[in-house]
Amino acid sequence: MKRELRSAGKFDRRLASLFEALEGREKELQSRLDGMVKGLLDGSITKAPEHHPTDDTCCLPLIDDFVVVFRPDRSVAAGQDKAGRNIVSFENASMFDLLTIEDERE
Amino acid sequence: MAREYARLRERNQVTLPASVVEQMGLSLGDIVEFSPNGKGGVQLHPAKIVKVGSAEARNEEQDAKNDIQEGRYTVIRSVGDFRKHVEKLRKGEMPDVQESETNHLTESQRHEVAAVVESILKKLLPSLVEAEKSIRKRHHEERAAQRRQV
Repeated sequence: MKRELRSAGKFDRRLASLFEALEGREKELQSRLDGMVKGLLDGSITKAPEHHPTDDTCCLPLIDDFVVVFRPDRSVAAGQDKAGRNIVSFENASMFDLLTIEDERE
Repeated sequence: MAREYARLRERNQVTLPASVVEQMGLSLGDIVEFSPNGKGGVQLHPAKIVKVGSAEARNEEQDAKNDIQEGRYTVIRSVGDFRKHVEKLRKGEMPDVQESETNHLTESQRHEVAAVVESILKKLLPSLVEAEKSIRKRHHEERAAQRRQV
């Protein structure tokens, strides 16, 4: 299946900030981003924790405590992980909106 | 805060007034974000990455959804596309905003459109067949009349 990502302007600005904040670790960050983008495009990443139940958003860990918040165009509930978080499956999605980057640190 | 001014210097540099730095809670090394205010000007914000679950995070997510809805996004179809996109971002260049190949329709929406078009065509088909029959009949009658005249 052909898949696409749409990188929102807000996501782009947060990503630029993260590159600045992680100065010296750019290669590591780029490599993690590449892995995530490849996984979403080729369908090898099919599940992620739910971010907000009301708007079909999910999140994937990126680096340190930073997560990428995104929205697949099609998703279904897929149970819970060991930590009790709701998991969403998006194996039939053809488009993903990259929305923003957030910090999960307590 | 009273209105403050700053002069643009070489290489587009401006020094933020101390009161602005204080009000925004900025410190050395922090990054700031300039975003259009929709009135021809720009707004200045601290470009910090916000905490999951905070009110700021919800606002950011809504802003991002508005970006998508209003066409402020870049389409990524491969890791190569994404790397070029990141390179531009890091150079401070505006990314090229491309139209999605799907024209914003998801696969399920495309199926729905195809089903609607098919049902309309099915409804129209009998009247098209009737119209064609009537045109053929008229042509036949006109030719017969011409032959009689000859």
